[in-house]
Amino acid sequence: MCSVNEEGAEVFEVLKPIEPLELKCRKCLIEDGNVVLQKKFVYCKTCFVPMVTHKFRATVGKSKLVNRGERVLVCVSGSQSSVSLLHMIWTGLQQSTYKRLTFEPVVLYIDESVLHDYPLDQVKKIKELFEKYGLTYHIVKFSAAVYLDNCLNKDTNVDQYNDKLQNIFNNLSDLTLKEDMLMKLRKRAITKLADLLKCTRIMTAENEHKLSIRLLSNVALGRGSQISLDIGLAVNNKNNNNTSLVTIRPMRNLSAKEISYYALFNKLDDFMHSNFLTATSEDESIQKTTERFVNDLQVDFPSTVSTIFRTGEKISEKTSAIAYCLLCQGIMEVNVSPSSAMEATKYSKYVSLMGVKALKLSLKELKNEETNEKNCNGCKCRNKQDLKEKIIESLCYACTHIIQELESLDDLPEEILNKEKERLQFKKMEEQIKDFLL
Amino acid sequence: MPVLYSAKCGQNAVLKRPKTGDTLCKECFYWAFELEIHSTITNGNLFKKGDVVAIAASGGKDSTVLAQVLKTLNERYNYELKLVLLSIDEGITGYRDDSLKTVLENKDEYQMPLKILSYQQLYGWSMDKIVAEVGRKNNCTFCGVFRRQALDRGAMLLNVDCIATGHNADDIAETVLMNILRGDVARLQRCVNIITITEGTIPRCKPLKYTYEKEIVMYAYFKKLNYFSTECIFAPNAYRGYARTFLKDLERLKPSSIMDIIHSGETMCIKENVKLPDIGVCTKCGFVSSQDICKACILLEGLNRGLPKLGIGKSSKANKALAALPNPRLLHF
Repeated sequence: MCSVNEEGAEVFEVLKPIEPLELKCRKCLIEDGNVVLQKKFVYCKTCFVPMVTHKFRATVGKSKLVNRGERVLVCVSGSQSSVSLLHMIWTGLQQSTYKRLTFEPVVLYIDESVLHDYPLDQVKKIKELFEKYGLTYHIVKFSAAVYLDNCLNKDTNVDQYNDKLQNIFNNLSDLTLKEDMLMKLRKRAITKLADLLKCTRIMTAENEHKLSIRLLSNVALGRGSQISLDIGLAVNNKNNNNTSLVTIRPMRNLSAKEISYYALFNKLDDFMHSNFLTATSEDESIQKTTERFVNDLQVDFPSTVSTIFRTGEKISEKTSAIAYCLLCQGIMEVNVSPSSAMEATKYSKYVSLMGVKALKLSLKELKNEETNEKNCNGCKCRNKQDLKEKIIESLCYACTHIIQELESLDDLPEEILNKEKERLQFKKMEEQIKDFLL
Repeated sequence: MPVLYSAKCGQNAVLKRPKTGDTLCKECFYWAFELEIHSTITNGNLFKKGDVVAIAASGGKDSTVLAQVLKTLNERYNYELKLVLLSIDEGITGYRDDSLKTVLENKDEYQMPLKILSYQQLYGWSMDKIVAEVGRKNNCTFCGVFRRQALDRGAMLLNVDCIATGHNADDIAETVLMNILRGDVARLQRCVNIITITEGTIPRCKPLKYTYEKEIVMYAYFKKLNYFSTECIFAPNAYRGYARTFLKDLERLKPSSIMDIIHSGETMCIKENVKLPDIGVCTKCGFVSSQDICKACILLEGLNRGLPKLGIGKSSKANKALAALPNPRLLHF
């Protein structure tokens, strides 16, 4: 194929030969510069920190989403970004700050030590940090947050839930899916905790760089319709109509570099925070491959990250959606047209299983044949298989990939299973009365 | 050792499908491959009975396979289509002249009429001449813009109802990625459409939209199809190359990635308040354009005026440059 698109390729930014940089800060023109941004803008320390803070404040302010006295859940993972977010909020709350922030932050750290190896004193250190800031805070174990309703109670024994959680991830052999599942479970946990802590806003600390990588890997995972949910500034959580939970990402206009310099100048220490991709090779997961791709491209084309990011801002959810995925709360693909990637994939699977026979049988008959094969005389394994198939009906395209890999659904949080049962019950009811509905 | 065989037809499997991972024998693979395209065509309502369809034939693997499959399916399922081959001769010595030989052979083999249009005859410039003017960089801009219009013109000459192009699933997924990287939301939405209908132009469709490039090569290999496989000698487009490598990496990790990306593209929705370019008509040549004067006319004007860089980059800049010329009277051609 020729490599030019429909109406011709556009020209990309051409890098100008490097000019010798100004030594003085471009803002105050007095101090010597300490930081160079985008290979051309020089800032001194005293001008840089307010500039970054301003970007953060502008993102929060512009959105007009946080009201006076509103309780905001601030999620801290221990990363440089989140530690900086915490510092910015704390600074903004001080009396001496001009235009003080007026919301009421509730800081949250989810302890994921059950999945990753953290230093033993990590929680203690985080606690010390939170104490230092003097804000309301909560440290919750991940498994408790995923499985328990009263997860704020510290005395509950979580050992059995730790096992369940580890089981889920041990069942998923594919790193891509593991990480995807972790993200979804984290999100569930945060949403739940926000509800429990009576917070109506959630702040997370993802920066521009991270969000554009997430956008691209979401596309690669088939989560295109959920992009705004995962990278947007404000996302209404449809799970809970009466409380309308909104996620705000106030660091989304900052680059990773700006944040690391902010942390450096303010002497902020970050903590170990892992996920399943930490210390894995780039060729093992889609997310890491995407990360390498974006990073490599960023070197040659410095506007890559911001372009991807801004493309993402123009993508929204389908407003007509009626169904949401049970696992990730993303939009479900209902009533797909017969000419779509989803149907085409199903058809491929079907024809390559049937070969020439595909001509004679229709898709429905194949399904019957399959179920006949699976029925091993009404034993338990059939029930399980059945539930899995049912639950897949209420999952989005990408989440089906995860659940299909799981051997058993027993380890999933109870609420998911209950919701599914509820849905099936409702469907049954509908079936019974459908002739009488006008 | 005979390989376990997914479709259980009794033959030994000879290949593993790149798309699904299933092992098949040659015959079953042909069936699967052709049936899939058949289902894409019928589900997408790409053709009507009695349509005259132009196959955009470059001589490469995609268009060769497309011609072969469309011919087969047309006979097998009675589409009642009249198929013609349409080729564009960009005038690239050492590349297009060789690939056109393949198209000529295809013409005899498939017994389809063939129409060749050349840039020289349409625009007065062949790619060889253009490259001599603009150099190796950015010449793909000319080639791409001109070809799109040339295909339309050729299709009008042949009086066809529809143009079928050989874009495969890899191409589409790649374009989705490219449009995200370039921030082009209008095209991002358009590029996954299986059939593009714009007023005033002939509809274009992509029957191979869900077919993997690897399977196309496999099909051509087993059927011993005669195709031309040389990269264009002028500037392999660097930026698309990045997207291509990335896609191949993803495919290696998870073969379904290509379909996943197309799925993402299909389900993505553009925010209502985002301004999209309006589709209009070029005031000079009358072809579809989002600007007053279409890109092809600007590029051509630049070439004829000895300002080959004129149309490269934003159209607004080109308009300014034109206005600044000593003879602005010619601005509106």
